[in-house]
Amino acid sequence: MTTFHVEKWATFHRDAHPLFDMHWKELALDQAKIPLGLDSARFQVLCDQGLLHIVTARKAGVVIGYFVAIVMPHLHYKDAGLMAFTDMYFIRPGCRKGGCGVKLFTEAERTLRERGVVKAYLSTKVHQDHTQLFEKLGWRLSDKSFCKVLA
Amino acid sequence: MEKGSDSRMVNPKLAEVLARETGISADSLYSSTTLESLGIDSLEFLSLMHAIRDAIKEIPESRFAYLNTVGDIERELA
Repeated sequence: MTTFHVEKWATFHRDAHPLFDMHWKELALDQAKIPLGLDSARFQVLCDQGLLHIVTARKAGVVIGYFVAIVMPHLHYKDAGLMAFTDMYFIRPGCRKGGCGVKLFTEAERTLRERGVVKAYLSTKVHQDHTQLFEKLGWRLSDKSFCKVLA
Repeated sequence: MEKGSDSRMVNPKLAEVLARETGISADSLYSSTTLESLGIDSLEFLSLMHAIRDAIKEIPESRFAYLNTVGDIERELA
């Protein structure tokens, strides 16, 4: 049975740690130049400041997926209320059946609403494109992002 | 198909929708059958929820996280 939980950084980092490398290997670009180096101390600061929103998927207590967003007023729309900027999401391969992805995102959305968030942003990789899923969940394609290795 | 300890048959209308959407025989579906064991991905899960809405009753998105088994769907529809 998979259950979903809003968690703090410390417990999340402790329990989800084995997934981060898996996540990076599957999805990160430019791996030869840019190694994984999750800055747990800075995440902890964000958490202490109340700026993190973490939803985990746990199966028999083990973290099998997560959604992490930074929650704060938008720098351009400071009076518009809280907004969520998705930092990362992942579900362990082998645990992606049964609608786990849908459940993770609907739970993230529900708990963000509960927290008073008025708008959320997220992106999807070009090489693992979830556009269809997000559109079916009511998200609107609004931007395309680009990256370039400079050094 | 995972049968588990609860082998009651699901309600016929739901079984029909599940069978149509997943291609699994209604006779093989039990309340204890997990959605994971149906092998459906997220898009298929959403199609299933839409089919249930059209045929029986809508399950709110806010309840999706609590649907682990066919029996959980039955309880939401009760």
